[in-house]
Amino acid sequence: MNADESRIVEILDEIHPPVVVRFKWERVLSDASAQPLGHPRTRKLALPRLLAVTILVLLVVGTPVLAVGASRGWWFQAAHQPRWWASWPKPVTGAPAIIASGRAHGQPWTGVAFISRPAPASSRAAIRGNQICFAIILGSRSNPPQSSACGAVKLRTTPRGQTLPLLGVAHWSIAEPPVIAGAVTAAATRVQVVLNPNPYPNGRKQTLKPSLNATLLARVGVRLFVVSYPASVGIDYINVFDARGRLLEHRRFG
Amino acid sequence: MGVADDNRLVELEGVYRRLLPRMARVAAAILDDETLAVDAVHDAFVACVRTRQSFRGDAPIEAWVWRAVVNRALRTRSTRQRNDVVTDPVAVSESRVLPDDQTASVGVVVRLLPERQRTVVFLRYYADLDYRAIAQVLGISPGTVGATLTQAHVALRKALEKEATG
Repeated sequence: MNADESRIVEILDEIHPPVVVRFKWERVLSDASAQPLGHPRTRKLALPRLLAVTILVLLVVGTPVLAVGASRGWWFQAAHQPRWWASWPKPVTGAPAIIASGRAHGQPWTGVAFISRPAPASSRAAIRGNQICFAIILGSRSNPPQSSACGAVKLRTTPRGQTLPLLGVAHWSIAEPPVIAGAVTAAATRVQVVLNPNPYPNGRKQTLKPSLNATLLARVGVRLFVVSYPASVGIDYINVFDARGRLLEHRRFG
Repeated sequence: MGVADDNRLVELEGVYRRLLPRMARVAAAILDDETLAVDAVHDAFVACVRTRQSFRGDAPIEAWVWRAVVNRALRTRSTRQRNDVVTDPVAVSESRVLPDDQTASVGVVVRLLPERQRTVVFLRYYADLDYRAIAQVLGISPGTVGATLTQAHVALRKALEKEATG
């Protein structure tokens, strides 16, 4: 090894020092549903376990979202946070609301919504007042979000004084299937998500009608919606209606 | 599942206990993120335990697990890069503090190396694998490993020289 190579090795050591890891072989086995050696195989448990998993899956898939996340173990609560996390929006109080979850490319993902403080003035998306933020987390929720989107938690108005209820939308294309989630003010009672397959199959538009769900975020007058759509299409526009069926907002995408 | 299956589980546990720190380091280098790396290595081992019956034994089991770890880390990296489309995105910038200019410069070059060169460098220096073992992990010939490593050395040496001459 010459001097240059030695220096390269030295620098490589500085760039990525050894990682401190905890050995969790038992967890590997439990996640793989394999039995550790020396333990008798408990076939009797297989059926109850299968039932429990099935019920869990049905709850996750069938319940229209919106469980409020447990209060510990989120990325913003980690004792040692990398410097670059500092610029990520964080909840003002409490835990984010879990609005969707699934698997993408072999890993679990969780979509969350939370109320965050105003963006720093240096941010491109500087917003006065608190923001509603969406984030998607891959793997453990202690991982920093893969991405985040924030919008103002306040009524926006048109030049004519009309209020616009759609507060923010996040489109998670990595999910399988892709998911769109958004927040509307309490004035909204119905949302239509219109897809743009370009061209529409059979010349017909596809319209999704997600339900609106109140969460702890409702204390600031926010309702959330989430709906999945086929991977081959995009979002054309979103319509938001009030209780009397009046169109409050028509937001076009792309 | 029988004795052979249990033996394979013992072998996998041995690989886990022997190589976990090195595997986590290689995954962290690929992902530039220790948390994601630990998860990626965990997921790779879970996959290996689940699919252990498919291991054919035509190469050492270490190479099989290394391949699972590298593939998992690369897949996580590509998933992260694909990211999602959002409206009103908040600008997020990543910053890392590097010890000195030369380290920073070489660090940037390492990050900009083509994926195969980066992976070979990490397997050579962080995993301490020889050319043959790297070849088994990546499914390429030992000659290709040597040539790839030489190309990476040339790029890194240039970065060093550039920094030395200011």
